[in-house]
Amino acid sequence: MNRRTTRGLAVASAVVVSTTLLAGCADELPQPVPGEAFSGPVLTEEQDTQVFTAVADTVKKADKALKGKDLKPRVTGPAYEVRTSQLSVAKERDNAEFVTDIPSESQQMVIPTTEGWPRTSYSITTSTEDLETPRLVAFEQETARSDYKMWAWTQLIPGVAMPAFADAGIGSEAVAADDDTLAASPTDALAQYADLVTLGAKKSSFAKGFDLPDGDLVAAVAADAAAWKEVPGFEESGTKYTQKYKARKDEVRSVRTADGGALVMGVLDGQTTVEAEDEAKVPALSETQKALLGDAGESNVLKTEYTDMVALYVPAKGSDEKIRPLGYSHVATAASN
Amino acid sequence: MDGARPAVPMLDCPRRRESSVLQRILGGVLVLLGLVAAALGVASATVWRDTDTVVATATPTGDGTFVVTDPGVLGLVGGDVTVSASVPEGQKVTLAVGRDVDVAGWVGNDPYSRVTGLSDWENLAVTAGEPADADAETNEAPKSGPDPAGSDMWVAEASDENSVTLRWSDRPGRWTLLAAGVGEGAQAPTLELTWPRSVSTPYLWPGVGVGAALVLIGAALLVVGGRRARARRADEADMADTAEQGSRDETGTDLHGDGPPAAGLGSPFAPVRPGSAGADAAAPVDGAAAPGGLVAGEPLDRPAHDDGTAQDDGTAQDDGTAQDDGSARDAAGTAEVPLASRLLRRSRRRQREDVVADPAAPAVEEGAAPFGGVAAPAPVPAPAVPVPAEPVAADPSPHDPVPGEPTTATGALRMTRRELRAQEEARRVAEQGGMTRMLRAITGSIPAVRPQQGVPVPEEGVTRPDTSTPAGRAAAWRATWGFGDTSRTGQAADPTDSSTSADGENR
Repeated sequence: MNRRTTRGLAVASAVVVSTTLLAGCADELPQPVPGEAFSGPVLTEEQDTQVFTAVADTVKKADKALKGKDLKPRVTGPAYEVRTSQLSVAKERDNAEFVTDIPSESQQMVIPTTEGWPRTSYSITTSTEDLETPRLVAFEQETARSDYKMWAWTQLIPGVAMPAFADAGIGSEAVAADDDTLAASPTDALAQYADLVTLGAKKSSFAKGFDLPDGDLVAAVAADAAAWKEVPGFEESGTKYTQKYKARKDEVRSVRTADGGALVMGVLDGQTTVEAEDEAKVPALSETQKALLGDAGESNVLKTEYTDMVALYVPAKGSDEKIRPLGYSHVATAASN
Repeated sequence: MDGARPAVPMLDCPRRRESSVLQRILGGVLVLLGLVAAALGVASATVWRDTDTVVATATPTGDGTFVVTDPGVLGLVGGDVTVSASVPEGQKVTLAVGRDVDVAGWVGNDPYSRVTGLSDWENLAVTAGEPADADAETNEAPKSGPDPAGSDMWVAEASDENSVTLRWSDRPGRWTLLAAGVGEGAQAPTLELTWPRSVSTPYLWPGVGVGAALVLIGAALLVVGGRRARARRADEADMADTAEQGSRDETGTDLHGDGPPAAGLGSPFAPVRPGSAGADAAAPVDGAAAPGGLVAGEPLDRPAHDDGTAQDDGTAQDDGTAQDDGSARDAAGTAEVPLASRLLRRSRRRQREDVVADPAAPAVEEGAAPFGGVAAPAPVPAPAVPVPAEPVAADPSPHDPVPGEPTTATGALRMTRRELRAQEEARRVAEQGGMTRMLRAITGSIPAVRPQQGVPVPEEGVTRPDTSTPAGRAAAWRATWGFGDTSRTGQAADPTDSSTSADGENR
């Protein structure tokens, strides 16, 4: 081995050793790589199911105890109002038969993609044990730090055709109350519907804009009026029956359907008044009214207040379809003489 | 002549010595490097092996009870992360993972600490968070730390007293961790993110491989260098001796301050050396006489010891290495050395033989020289030869085969050296084990030679002719060169005899 080889070897080994040493120290710090921004539903189906379950559990617990306050953690808005009333009536009557049964299983979820708050998701439950039609329930998360709470429920009208919604994994866009891409804005649609309910299909000017199924709220309210008129002596005594329904402007929740229309949920405040002659006494017609009246005795006037939660399908502007009621909840929440 | 003998090593030696030393040093260094490389390789896979986890800590800064990670921080090192958060004793801590907008919305305008990434392998970079609403002012730090636990938005969460751990597998999307100290007087928790990572040991086998290779190369160098050094040592010993003779013979600048006359006598022979064969041929007599005479050796004599290689018996002897331990040593070394020395030795001997065979030289003289050499197993550079006028040379004095020679003093010195050398050799022989001893045993070199040196002695008495008379001288001549007396010739041709003289010479 000559000197050149020797030197070469020495250099080579030095390189090997130093490379080995240096390589050990040269590990670069990783930088955080943010993933793609979220654009889908704000809740996973799993989360939404958990929400639903949590609500159902809370409702069930309150139902059992017949305590409206127990609903607070998971029920809000008109739903809380109605449910509390139902529970108090049930307590008064010591009978929960008129408390709306809300199945704890969901068959379809409509999950919003809303970035901000409030956020509203919807769910269609299964049929009840009594084979009543499924409920359409709305859940609302009012602020980021609050939970999803049941905001409203309606009982679907038998035989109604539900619009199609985007898949829960894709998410559905929330629709503003004054959205103008629809045949009527959600607020307007509710107002028109209230007028329809108040006046009836024949008298209301909005009737042609609606495709009213047989068993909707308009029919229910009309049935109420008819019921009074069938009371013996109603006509003869000159008793007057008036009803007025009005949509709450700030209680509107809407979500886009797959065809570009919207599902609109809102609240109609209804008031019926039965006014007989001064000397006459108007009895409570329903058990609920009786319970709501409580100890108050009969008089010649009976005012009943309803808090009706309704669900409408409002087609997109230019669509051949008409506004279609999907479901409602017609519950008397107050009565007075 | 002999002068060439040292010349070869002189030329060769420094370089060879240097290179063999270099080789050994290099060998050592390479072995060391190899061991170091292998050790580094092993260490890289053991003590220096990266830990299986990366653990990074975030210490919250500023106000607020929250610590929020930027999207991507959870999956910074690996897909699976274990998050632990701890707060002072007696407080509650909650960890939650949610979509970035959800976490941001949840935190709102409260102050928080924001984890933006790694500042080094053990620490997370933390800055004060901006309020979610760019226009809004950051709120006052709440007196009581709100608890994010239980929100419907979180996809993973955990909360506990003092400290809590949460495992998270990264998935597509901007997932963000929210850690919150909860309750009265809460403070933001200290975060610790632990990622497992697969650690490879890329330097283990390369390191070990390179190390092993270096060690092998180094070891090989050491062995080669060592062997060369041994050979050289042997050479030098041999050479020192030869050189001594050579210098004396050839240059006349006797190292020992020996008489110039001898040098003068010797020097003429020096140039002869290379052409020694020619010299042989030119002096048939000498060829005939010399036991080693190639040309003259011919038919008559030496059938016995002629090795049939057509080489002179000198070669035969050297090849045999039996008689010459110098050659034995050569045998242990590289090939060139013995060859050179053999040639040199041969030529030297031939030259001497020339001299000895010089018809002018008294037979006695010639006879005496070898015998003297035998008696005193000393190399007989035979500078004495040129002094034919000294029949006294018959003097059998072992110390000085050529009495009256100027070289006498040298001879005495030489003797001392010889003795020293003999001693040294004896010692070496005693020391030597393994190969050399085996070689010796096989060749029977040492013991065989010396005792035999004495063998011819009796002959001396018998055969030594009286050189004082012409007839005697003639007889001596004949005897020397193998003419006439068959028995004498046979004796002269006797390998023992020749080997003896050769041995003596070479010494």
